[in-house]
Amino acid sequence: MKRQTVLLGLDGATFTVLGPLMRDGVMPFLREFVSSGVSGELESVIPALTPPAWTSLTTGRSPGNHGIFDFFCKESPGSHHIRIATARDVHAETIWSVADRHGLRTIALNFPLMFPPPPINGFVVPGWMPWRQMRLGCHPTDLYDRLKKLPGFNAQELAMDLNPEAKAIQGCAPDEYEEWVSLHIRRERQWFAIVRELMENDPCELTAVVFDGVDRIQHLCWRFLAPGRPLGEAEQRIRERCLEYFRELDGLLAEIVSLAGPEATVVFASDHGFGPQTGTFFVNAWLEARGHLAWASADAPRAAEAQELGIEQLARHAYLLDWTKTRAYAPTPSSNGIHIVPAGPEHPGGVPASEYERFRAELARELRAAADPATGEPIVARVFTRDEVFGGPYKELAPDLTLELRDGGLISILASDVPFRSRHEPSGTHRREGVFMARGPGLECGLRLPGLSILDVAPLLLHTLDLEVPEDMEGRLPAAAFHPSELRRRPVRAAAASAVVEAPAERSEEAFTKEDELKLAQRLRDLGYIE
Amino acid sequence: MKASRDEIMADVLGLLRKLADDWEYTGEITPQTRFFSDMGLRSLDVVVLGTAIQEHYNQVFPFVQLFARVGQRAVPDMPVGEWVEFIYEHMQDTSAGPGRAAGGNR
Repeated sequence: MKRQTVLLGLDGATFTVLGPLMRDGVMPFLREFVSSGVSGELESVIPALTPPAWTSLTTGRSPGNHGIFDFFCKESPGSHHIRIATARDVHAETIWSVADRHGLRTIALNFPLMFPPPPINGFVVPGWMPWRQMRLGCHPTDLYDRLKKLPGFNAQELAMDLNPEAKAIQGCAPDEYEEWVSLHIRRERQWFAIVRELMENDPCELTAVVFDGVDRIQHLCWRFLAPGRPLGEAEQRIRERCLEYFRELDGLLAEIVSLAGPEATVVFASDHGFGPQTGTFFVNAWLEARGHLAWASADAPRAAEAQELGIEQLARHAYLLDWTKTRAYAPTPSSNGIHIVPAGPEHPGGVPASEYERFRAELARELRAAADPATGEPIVARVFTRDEVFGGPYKELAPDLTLELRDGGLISILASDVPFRSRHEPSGTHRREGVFMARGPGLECGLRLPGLSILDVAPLLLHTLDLEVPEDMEGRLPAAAFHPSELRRRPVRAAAASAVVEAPAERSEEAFTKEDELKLAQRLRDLGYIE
Repeated sequence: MKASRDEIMADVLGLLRKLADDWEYTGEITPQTRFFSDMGLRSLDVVVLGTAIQEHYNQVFPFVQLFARVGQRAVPDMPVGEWVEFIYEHMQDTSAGPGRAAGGNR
């Protein structure tokens, strides 16, 4: 194997937390890594959310071009039905597919949107798989049985689904915090064991793994981790447990880098950063109060507390809302997106096409003016139309409006007596500013780089593997990260666009026509999967 | 060629029985076995199983409609047989073999 690149994903990592941990000796390996490599803030996509962001990182494409905007996707552009997004909804080529086309092998572990697993030469264990189906997500098919033989293997703890995620985001009982952190220490050890098993016995040119405990712990324990906040005795104990997680993670990362060897290029990246959320905007309650949304009955699930975002109610809006009276709604609390209902037989109360632009502009104006009744402060910092942030063939599947709240927080989709509630304690939530760190042959030493985009990571990874960068990748290789002599010796090579994208059709997805089949066959042929 | 009800039932039961070994579920799995109250699955499990079935039959099924229907029941649950019937009702007559319908992470 001539070259090896390792991508270590730290879901939700931010220098706001990692910086003090490196400085104070909790993460000595990471501190040494930064001082001997290139680092900088990595700007994520809008929305700064795990599925669209990791997909952008691994494709070099923005959400409007790869088609992933949330954990969920619309059935079709005009539909109000949503379903869990899968790998089949990713409409851009991934770095492992590019590597595969060039005969390179990949280990890809714990990335979202990897089920059904891509048929690459290498190994895949998808992230966000329910544990009972994990076998189905592993590639090749005998991989799961191999994992079961690893000491300490526990599929139930390794996997992650929406129920624990709800706990991370909506809070848990005071006596559950420490166990929550301990669970993630055990999970990271398991992912490490899988990485080590494969790197030692089946090394591949590209190894990529996401450690997602960083995100889960910061959601729940932000107030114990944020610098400069005075803590009581019980809180200090939880903080110590959090520090233990980061100390352990630092050691695991050091071992992976050691396994890769001194000639490997190692890249750390996060999908987004983190910060505090201090209040909750009940968007559907606000829309109801403005006459844009109606519940089908008075029994609609109602929030009693600020931290209730409605994760348990996902996809239920299909029958919780009165479609004869609803013009706009937020279906999920994860992407901060508002969908405008197009008028039609299914939505007699929707917005006619002729009024769409006017309605959207007016709704955006109203949202910008929305204020916390208690303080009078604006709730919404920015409102993006999908034309502004989701340009590309999949724009029609995106929310019509995407909100950036004043505190950077997530919305709630529940009914509520009031449109905004302050939280008693801040929780952690996503920010666009993530982290990037890299070290390897040809890379600068101790350099802090400004202006990095998450879209730049895929071109960089391909270049380190000595592969051409497809010209339809929107990110660009950060040339300043390399010694000038390195780029003279090995300049960036561009390749023709590899991704074949199709605009989503406004039709039933039941029909898989002969034409679809021919297109699929052509696509697979283009990609070298079939002769 | 459209698969028959019996063929779909055999495929679905085979899939569930294979996975049940990993869950250490020891109960019998029959057309009457219910996903949630008997097998202890969660809604996300059934969504993932649906994706696996789509892969197997190389077709997209409108499971969202089925889940919305089931979700409105007083006891939101369904037996394996109902799921099989839904798959059979929406199956296209195609000669495509196992593989996948459309789109995809490449």
